[in-house]
Amino acid sequence: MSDLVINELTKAFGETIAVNDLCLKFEEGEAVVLLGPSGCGKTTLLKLIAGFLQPDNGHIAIGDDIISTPHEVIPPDRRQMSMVFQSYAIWPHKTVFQNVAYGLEVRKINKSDIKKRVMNALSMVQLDGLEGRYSTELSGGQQQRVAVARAIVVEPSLLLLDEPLSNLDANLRIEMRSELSDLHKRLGITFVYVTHDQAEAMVLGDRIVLMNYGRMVQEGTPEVFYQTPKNRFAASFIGTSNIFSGKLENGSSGGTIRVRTDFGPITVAKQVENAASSADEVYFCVRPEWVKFHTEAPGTDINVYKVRILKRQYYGKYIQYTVDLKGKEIIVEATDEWDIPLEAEVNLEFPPERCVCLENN
Amino acid sequence: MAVASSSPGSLWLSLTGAVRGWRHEALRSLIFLGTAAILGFFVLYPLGILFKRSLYDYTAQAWTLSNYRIFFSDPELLAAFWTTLKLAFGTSIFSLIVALPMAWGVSRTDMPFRGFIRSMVVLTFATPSFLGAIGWIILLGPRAGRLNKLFMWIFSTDIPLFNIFSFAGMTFVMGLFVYPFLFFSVASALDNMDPSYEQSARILGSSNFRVMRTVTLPIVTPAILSGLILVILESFVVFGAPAIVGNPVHVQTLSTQVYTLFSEDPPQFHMAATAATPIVIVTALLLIFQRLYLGRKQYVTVTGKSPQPQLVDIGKWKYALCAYAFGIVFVSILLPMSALFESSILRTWGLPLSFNNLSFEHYVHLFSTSDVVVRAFWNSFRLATGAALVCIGFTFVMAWIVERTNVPGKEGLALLSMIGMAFPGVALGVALVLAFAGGPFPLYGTLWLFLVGYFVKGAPIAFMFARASLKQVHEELEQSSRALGAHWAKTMKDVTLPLMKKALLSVGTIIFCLKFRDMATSIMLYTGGLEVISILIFEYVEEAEMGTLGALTFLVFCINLTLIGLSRKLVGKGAFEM
Repeated sequence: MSDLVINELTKAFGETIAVNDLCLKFEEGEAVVLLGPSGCGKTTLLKLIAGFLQPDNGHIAIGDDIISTPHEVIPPDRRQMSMVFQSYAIWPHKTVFQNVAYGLEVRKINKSDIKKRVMNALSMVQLDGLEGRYSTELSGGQQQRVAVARAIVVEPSLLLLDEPLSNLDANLRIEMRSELSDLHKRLGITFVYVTHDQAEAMVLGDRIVLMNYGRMVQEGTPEVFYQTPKNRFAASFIGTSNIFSGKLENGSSGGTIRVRTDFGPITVAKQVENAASSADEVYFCVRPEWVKFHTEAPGTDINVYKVRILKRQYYGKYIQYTVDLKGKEIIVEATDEWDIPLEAEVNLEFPPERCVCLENN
Repeated sequence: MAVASSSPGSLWLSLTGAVRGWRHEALRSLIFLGTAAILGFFVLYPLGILFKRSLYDYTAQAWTLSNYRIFFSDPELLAAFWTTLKLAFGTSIFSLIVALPMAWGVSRTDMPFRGFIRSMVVLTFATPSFLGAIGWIILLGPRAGRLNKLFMWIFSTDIPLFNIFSFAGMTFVMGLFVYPFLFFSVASALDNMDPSYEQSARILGSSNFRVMRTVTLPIVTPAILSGLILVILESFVVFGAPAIVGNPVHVQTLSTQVYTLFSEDPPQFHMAATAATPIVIVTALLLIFQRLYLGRKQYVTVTGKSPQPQLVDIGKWKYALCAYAFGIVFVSILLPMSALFESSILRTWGLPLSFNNLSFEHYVHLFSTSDVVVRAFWNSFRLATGAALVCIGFTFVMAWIVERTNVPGKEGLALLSMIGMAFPGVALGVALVLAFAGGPFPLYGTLWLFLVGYFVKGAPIAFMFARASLKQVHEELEQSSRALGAHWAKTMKDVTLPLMKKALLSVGTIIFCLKFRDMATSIMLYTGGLEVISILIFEYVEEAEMGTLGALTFLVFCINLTLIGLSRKLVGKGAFEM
């Protein structure tokens, strides 16, 4: 399989434009996560890739072969892809073995090879010994594993996963997402993974594509997403962010700009790709753990503000404080060496390189 | 996320695999149009012919209202019209008195034998009313009726207790067989009612009676209205029982009047069509009203039970209520069916039930005297089987198109498949004969026309079942098969159909059961040699061979009973409460 290319793809359901003029490229062997809130078009995109939906505009191609256009869609059964569904879609009238063997039977593989490959796939997802069960006799996590085994046993070149972990409880979800990540590394095939869970996206994705209202908001590695969110939506959807706004001041120098905010002037790093426009309003974000605490007067006076502790929540690894910054409530985190009582006042430093300038949209 | 079921294109994709270009569109349209055309042809064409026949003067070659003028000035037809209205009114009152206390008792109180009463009402509901009518003739025939003779003997009189051959007799028999419509409507509303409505009224200090009056009753009022509409509807369309009880004394309803006009010599085709048209229109209007304003409860099978609401303790009254319910069940089903059985095993009818007078010779006689009985059973069997299969196959494809694709006009297709419901049996029979006697499709005089009639009447039920059942099959179960490389037909065969097997089998059984004993449509389509069971029964009633009639009717009752049991086993309780 070559790269999967999505070009100017649009799909509407009545008035709602689910996928809007989207261009994307998935490289062979890559694990790409389509991330976004519900209704952002990520599942629609997945079903377009699978061939269950017909685009209104644009096309999808694998290498040089165009597989979906508004006029013509290669049906899902002829795409050599596999899919893990949100509902798992384990056929209740077939046993685990029959479920996993189905794709191989369709491919007219001989019986003994089917048995070998099914058993191999089941052991890969740690379901040895359960091949005679029916789906009603399996737990949610086991059903999920059957769905994965059924999808990978046919050795697809592309595996589509539609929120596969959303029906599992929290602990199992964490366990399964690391197993899926291992599986991707072992199989070396392209994964396209849909989720609304940013933690899943961070763990599983070589690359994340963040979507909203049918459009791509930002794409990049998890690190890029966390360090330099592109706009307010990206900053608040992935991780926690304090988002500030202010007016651009003259006198920017080097890699920084000066912004006048309600709580005073602040120096903000000017990332190359996130360059603030000339618009008056400037947005920037600061992650809760990026601020520095000072009880004494700090050595620097750049971006240092006095705040009052309003709320304290103990998380073990860190303590989360809600603080009052001249009338604005923000969230900051510190290790427990900074155990500060309520109502106490403390100096917070916002390092300029940790104040990330956002695109104004 | 608003992912629609499927794209407009997926039907052709599904059906053709990778056929390319314009042929997709053409093939999709072809299948869609083909489905619509077959259905439309057999539903709309006869309907159109029926209306035209009532409005068009073939000799003068002109549209006319003269048939309707005759209809409203002919005393006999007007009398039939009034009789039908009176029957509808009478059965409604009867049903209210009978069904409301029973439904409340069974659903909301701690009355004993609730399950048994429910089963008996299902049995009543699934038993054709003409069997009941025959049972009651045996019991309350003016001279030889069992109960009348008993009455005359006790009181040394020669005045019978009650003459079943009368309008009152017709209302009585019909009432006993239509009250289940109201019963199920109300009972299922009560079953599904959130108990917290009643509990919150109780906790605010209302007495049981006050709760019932101020909370329960208003909540189930739509269900009562809805059930009443079905009762009224049934009074308009039913043929067997009114014909059997009313014909000897010339008390006619519209339905039986249509048959009379039809079987006169020469047949009054235009007047039959004119008399059938109001039945069709009333049926359609009532059904539209019922579905639009009163919700769709009547047409939803009661599958699972909602959490058991708290039962009301009515103290000693529960025994009174239970006795009442037993009385109704006894009178409506146990007594008349026992009468059929008794007369089937009495060597000489009229003599008392004694060991010497017992014999199964009527059953032997039934099958040995002439081959007409065997032929009727065989015809009914193959027609009912054929109707079940055709209905299932056809409505499965339609349900799939409606549920899984976005083909434009699919809602029209759904509507089209429901029209048969508004086509009462007698009217359908007239329409089919008018449409298919001669002309380009001379199906009249063959069993094929019976099959068409059974199909048109069976399709709505099958479609509702198939659609509801397909909704239960998650779309992703199909998609995962497609994604693994199976084409549409293979997916249907390996995934969808096996998962719908139970529902389809059960609706097949129901259609078989309904068509095996269909009288209203069949009697119109009947010509010599094309006997089906109901026609045989109808003729035996007139020939009055009580022993043979008893054997035949009791046999039909037993077959019916077996089939009900089978379908309830297949799909659980509620299969017949459609």
